Amino acid sequence: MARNVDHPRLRPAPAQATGGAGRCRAARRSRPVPRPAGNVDHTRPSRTSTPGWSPAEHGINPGADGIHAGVGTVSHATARRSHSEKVTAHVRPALAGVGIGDRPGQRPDQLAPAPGHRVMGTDTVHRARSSAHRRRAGAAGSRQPPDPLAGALRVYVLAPAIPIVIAAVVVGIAAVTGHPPQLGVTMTFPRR
Amino acid sequence: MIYLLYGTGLFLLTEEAGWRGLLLPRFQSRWTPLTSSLLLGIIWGLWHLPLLNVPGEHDNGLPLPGFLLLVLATSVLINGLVNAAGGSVLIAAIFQAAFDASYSYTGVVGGDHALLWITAVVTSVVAIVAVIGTRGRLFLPR
Repeated sequence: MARNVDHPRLRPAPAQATGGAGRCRAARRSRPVPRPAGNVDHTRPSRTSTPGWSPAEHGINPGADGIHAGVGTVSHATARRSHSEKVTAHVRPALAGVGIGDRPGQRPDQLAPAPGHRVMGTDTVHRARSSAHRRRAGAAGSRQPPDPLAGALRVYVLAPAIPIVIAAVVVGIAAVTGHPPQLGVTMTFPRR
Repeated sequence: MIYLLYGTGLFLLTEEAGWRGLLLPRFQSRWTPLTSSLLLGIIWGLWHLPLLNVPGEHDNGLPLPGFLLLVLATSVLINGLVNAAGGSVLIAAIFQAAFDASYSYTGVVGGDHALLWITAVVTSVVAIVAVIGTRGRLFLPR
């Protein structure tokens, strides 16, 4: 069942959300690095767009108003202008179509968006994205967080055990191969 | 057991503070964990090299290749444990104290060179398993 995706990359930057003055610099600092997002609603090439992208191949899709900004690939000038205008493709993450439960390889027409939402992308579900959703679902669900104390204790028990076990194995091999060690040799002062 | 406690405190304040406390984090920030471990192992082995030629020393007369192989493999194991413990130097000191205590008690690092070679090979096998099992990361968080 596809649902809304609450992904950090899809959230609006703080300055974009508030729309305050001087937001450009603040937004540039705080905004997460975007990646090509086939399921993000773009009204036009935005900061996530890279020169050379085409709308069909990179998911630069019409927005809620259904108007495409263009049919050509993204030009340098457009990308720069979009950057300065701060076109906020990320303010509508609810329109993304891939959600928890979707599997790698699923096509957009196989996804089932939550009521009131629609699939915007044209790509199949990417494995990494789907795995990330599964991990997030597991972390928020029934999976128990690891106990750091138990992990540390395991390492501190393992540390002295490893050389002791190795020494025991060596004694066994040596006894079999005709080199019985002389047990009980002690150091009067540590040398290593 | 007394030696284990004594050695842990000793190594914590001396060698391991330098190897695993100072050098390892710097090496691993520049190279992969495996490369860092091997480089540190070489330095560690060279540090002990004079003892192989000092009459009366426990390590006197040990074959250099076998000794270096043992130190390199041990370096990989210790660095893996240190990474797994979040960079703890104490874990390295515990390991080295247990290493010295057990190898000394069983006499595997002593007069019979065959024992040293067996020890070096077994330790290397364990180190290789650790490297493969962690895909070379040696438990270093990404």
